[in-house]
Amino acid sequence: MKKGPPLFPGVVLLCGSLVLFCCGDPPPTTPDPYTGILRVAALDTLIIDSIRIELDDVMLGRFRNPHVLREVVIGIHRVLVSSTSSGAASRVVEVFRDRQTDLFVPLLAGGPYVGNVAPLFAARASNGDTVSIQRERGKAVFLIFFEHT
Amino acid sequence: MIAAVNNTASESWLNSYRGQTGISYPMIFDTTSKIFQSYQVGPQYGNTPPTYVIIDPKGVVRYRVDDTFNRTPEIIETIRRVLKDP
Repeated sequence: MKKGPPLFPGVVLLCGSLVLFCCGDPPPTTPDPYTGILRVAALDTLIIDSIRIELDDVMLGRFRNPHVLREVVIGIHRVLVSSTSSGAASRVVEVFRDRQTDLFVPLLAGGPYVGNVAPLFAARASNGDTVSIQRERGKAVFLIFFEHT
Repeated sequence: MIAAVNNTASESWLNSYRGQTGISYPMIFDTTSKIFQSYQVGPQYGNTPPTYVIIDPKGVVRYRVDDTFNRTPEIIETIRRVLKDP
């Protein structure tokens, strides 16, 4: 009776190649050429609760301040940073390829931002009246700060 | 109440601008930039006017934005919300 070749050497070869395959270096990951690094820093705030990059993605969670975001798509983004203790602020920032962009957000505990009491003032207006924020309690107030250039 | 706050224009310019545009709300001339500073508006705070601030009837800031994107729809929406749910 004719015997076929023993299976043994084949199994050894197969296992060997598997080991080689598993232990070999992973293919090198090339960084996305169209991304940069964005470092978000807020003033006087220890924890940032969310960073939202408009039209791209929302990063929810609690981040230490400052927080470095990698592989941010290059271009101009509006970034909304919020913190439970200090409100929220948005900035427009340009992220450049392979470079770190520093984004400073003036989130200050108790500052004139969302969730905090608005600073009081009284001033004379162009129509001769005195505008007082205190006197407007009980009403909604819309302030427009503008510069004439 | 709507008010515009300005720290760079002269009073006469503000008056003529009001006349030209028909703006009826008060325009505040913040000569010493005290209001700008207390609301942290300006490049030293990392932002550039125009800055829009909405304060609810309790005196709490409910909205703030300082960029040049078209914010009109969300400003109207926020004012509606603040008036409905003070």
